[in-house]
Amino acid sequence: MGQESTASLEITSMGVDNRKLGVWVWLGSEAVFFSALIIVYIVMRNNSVSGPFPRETLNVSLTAVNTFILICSSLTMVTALSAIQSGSQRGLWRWLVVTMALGLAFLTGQVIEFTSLAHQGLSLSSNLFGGTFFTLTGFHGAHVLIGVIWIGFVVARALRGGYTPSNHLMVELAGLYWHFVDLVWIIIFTIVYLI
Amino acid sequence: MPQFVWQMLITAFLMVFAIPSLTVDAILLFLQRNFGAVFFSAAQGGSVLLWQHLFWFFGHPEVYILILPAFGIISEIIPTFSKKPIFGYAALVYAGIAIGFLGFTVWAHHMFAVGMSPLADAVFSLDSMIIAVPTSIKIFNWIATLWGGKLNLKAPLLFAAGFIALFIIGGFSGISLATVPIDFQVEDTFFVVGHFHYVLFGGTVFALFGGFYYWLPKITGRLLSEKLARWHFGLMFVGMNLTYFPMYILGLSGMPRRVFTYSMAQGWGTLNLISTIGAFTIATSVLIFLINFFTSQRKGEKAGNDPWDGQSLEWTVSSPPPAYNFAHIPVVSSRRPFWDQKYPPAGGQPAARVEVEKSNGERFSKGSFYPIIVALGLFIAAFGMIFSFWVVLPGVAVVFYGIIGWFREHF
Amino acid sequence: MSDDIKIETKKSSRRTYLVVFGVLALLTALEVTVTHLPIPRIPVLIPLALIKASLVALFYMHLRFDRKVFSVVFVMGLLMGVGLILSLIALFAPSLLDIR
Repeated sequence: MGQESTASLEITSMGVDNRKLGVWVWLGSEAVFFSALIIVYIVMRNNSVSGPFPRETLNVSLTAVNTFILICSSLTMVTALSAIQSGSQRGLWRWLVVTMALGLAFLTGQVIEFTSLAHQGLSLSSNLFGGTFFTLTGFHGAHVLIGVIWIGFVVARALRGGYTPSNHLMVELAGLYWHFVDLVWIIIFTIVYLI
Repeated sequence: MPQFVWQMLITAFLMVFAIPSLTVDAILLFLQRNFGAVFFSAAQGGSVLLWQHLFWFFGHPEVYILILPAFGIISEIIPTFSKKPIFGYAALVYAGIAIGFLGFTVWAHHMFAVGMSPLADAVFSLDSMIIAVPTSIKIFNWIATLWGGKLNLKAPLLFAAGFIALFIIGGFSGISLATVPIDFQVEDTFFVVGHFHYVLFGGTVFALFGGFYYWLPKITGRLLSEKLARWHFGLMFVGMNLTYFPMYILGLSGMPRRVFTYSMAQGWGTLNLISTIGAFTIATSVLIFLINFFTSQRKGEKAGNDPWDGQSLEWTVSSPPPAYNFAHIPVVSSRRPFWDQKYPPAGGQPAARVEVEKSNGERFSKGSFYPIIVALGLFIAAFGMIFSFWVVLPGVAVVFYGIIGWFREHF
Repeated sequence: MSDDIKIETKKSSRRTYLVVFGVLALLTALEVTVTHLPIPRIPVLIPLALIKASLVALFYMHLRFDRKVFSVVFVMGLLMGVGLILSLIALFAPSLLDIR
C-alpha cells in the first residue's frame, strides 16, 4: 500500500518539496504545543501548596550532562546527513546509529532523574510542581523516544542502500524533527532546571 | 489565486497554530480527571483560569476558522453573479490575513467577567474592536462589487446577500460584546447566543448553502431547482431571524444561558415561542433543500460546464469534472482567467488558454486508503479515552501508521 | 530526495557543525556556571538559551541556507508560542510575583 518516494522530481509552484514544507509547518505547530506546556509549568510550578519543591529536588548536574548528550546527538545527526550528501553510505548509518544511542542515553538519564524524583515523593498527582514537571518533560521524552524509533526506520532503509546524494529527503526530515526536539530541550532545561 | 483559496490558506495557518493550545488543555484536563493531577484545583494552588486561557487561545481563532472559508465562498459567488471583478482583491486578502493574525490577540474577550484586571479587560476589548476593521473592509468590498453589477438573482446570490445582512447584524452585537461594561450585563445571557448564531448561522451556514447552490451543479452535473431554492432561502431567512432575533431581547431582559428551564413569571414565554416557531421554519426550509437535492439528482436539468457564466477555472471543465481535473496544469495570468478568455479585453490577448482535453492519466492521484485508516485509528483512540485506556495505545498506533503511510505515499 | 539541491545554496561544512557544537557546549557550561553565581538568572539565561536554540535552527536545521518559506512558517509558530507564553505571564503576573 503506497509507495516510497521515488527520485522523480515533484515540481511545485514554490520550488520546494511539499513534504519538507509540511514538516516545517508541523514543527511550527509543535512549537505552540510545547509553548503551552511550558507556560503551564512557569505559571504553576511555584504555586504548589505542599512539597516536594523544585529547588531542593531537581538534579541540575545530571540533567546538564543529559543536555550535553542531546546536543552531541544533534551533531551526530547532522554529520549523518552530511555523510549521505557526500555519498558515504557507511557514514550515514553509523552516525545515525550513534544518534540513536545518544538518544537512548538521554532517555536513560531521564528515567534515572524521574525515579529519583519519584522517590522524593514527586508524581503527577503529588502537587502542581509534580504535575506540570512530569507533563512537560514526559511529553518531551515521548518525543525523543518517537525520534529514536523514527531514526531506527531510517537506519533500516539506509542499510538497504535506500538513500543517495540526490535522494535522501527522509534523512533530512528525520533530522529536522530530531534537532527540533533538541531545541525544545534547550529551552526546557533552562526554564525548569536553571531558573 | 481565487479568493476562496486565499481564505482557506489563512484558515489552514489558524488551525495549525491554534489547535495545539487545545491539545495541551485537553491533555491537562485528561490528566486531572484520570490521573489525579491538580492543575485546576484551587485548593492545591491550581487555577481554573489557566484552563480558560488555553481554551480560548484556541477558541477564538476557531471562530475565525469557521468564518474565513465562508468569506471566501461569498467572495467567489458575488463577482460571478454581479458579472464584475471582485472589488478590492488585494484588500480582501490583506484583510483576511489581518483577521487571522488579530484573531490570536483577542481570546480573553470570552473571559471579561472572570475577574481579570481592568487593564487586561481593556486590552482585549480594544483588540476585539480593532478586528472589526478588516472585517468591515471585506463587507464594503462585497457591497462595492454588487454595486453597478448586472445582478443574476439566482440562489447563490440570494444566500450571499442574506449572508451580508445577517453577518452585519451579528457583527454589531459582537461590537457590543466587545464593550466591557455591556458585556458584564449580558455575559452568559441569551444575548451572546443571539450574537454567535447570527454570525455562525447567518454567516457560515448561509455562505455554505450559497456554496452548495453554486457548486453542487459542478459536482453532480445537475442544476438544482431554482423555485425550491427560493422557498428554501425565503423560509430560512425568515426562520433564522424569528429564531435568533428574540434572543437579543431575551438576553437583555436577563434570560441566562445554559439553564434549561424558567418560570412563566419571568415573562420570557412569548419570545421563546417565537424562537421555536422560527426553528421549525428553518427545519422546513432545510427539508425543502433536501428534497431539492434528491429530486434534482434524478431529474434535474444538466448543468453543463458553465451554468453561471463563471470567471474562475472550475467552470472550464465538465460537470462533474474528470478525476484528474485539468489535463495540464493551467498557467494563469489573470485574476479572472476564464472570464478573460471568454470575453477578451478589447484588443487584448486572452489571459490564459485553458484547454479541456483528455489526459493520458499519468499525473493524477489514484486515491488512498490512508485517510480512512487515520479516521479508524482516531475512533479507536477516542473510544479508549472514554472507556478503557489500554485501547488508546493501539488506536494511536493505527493513527501513526496511517499518517506516516499517507505522508510517504507518492502521487 | 533533494530536489532543491539545484536551488539550495551552500551545504554547510563539517567544520561549521563542529564549531556550532563547541559553542553550544560552551554556552551550556556557561549557563550552569551562572546558576552558581550571585547574578540575576532570567536576564542572562533566557538570552543564552535563545542563542543556543537559534544556532540549532539556523545551522543544524539549515534554515540559514534554505528557502525562506521554511523559516517563515517555523518562525510564525515560534512567535505564536512566545506570544502565548508572554501574555499568560503578564496575565498571571500577580500570582507569579507573590510566590517567587
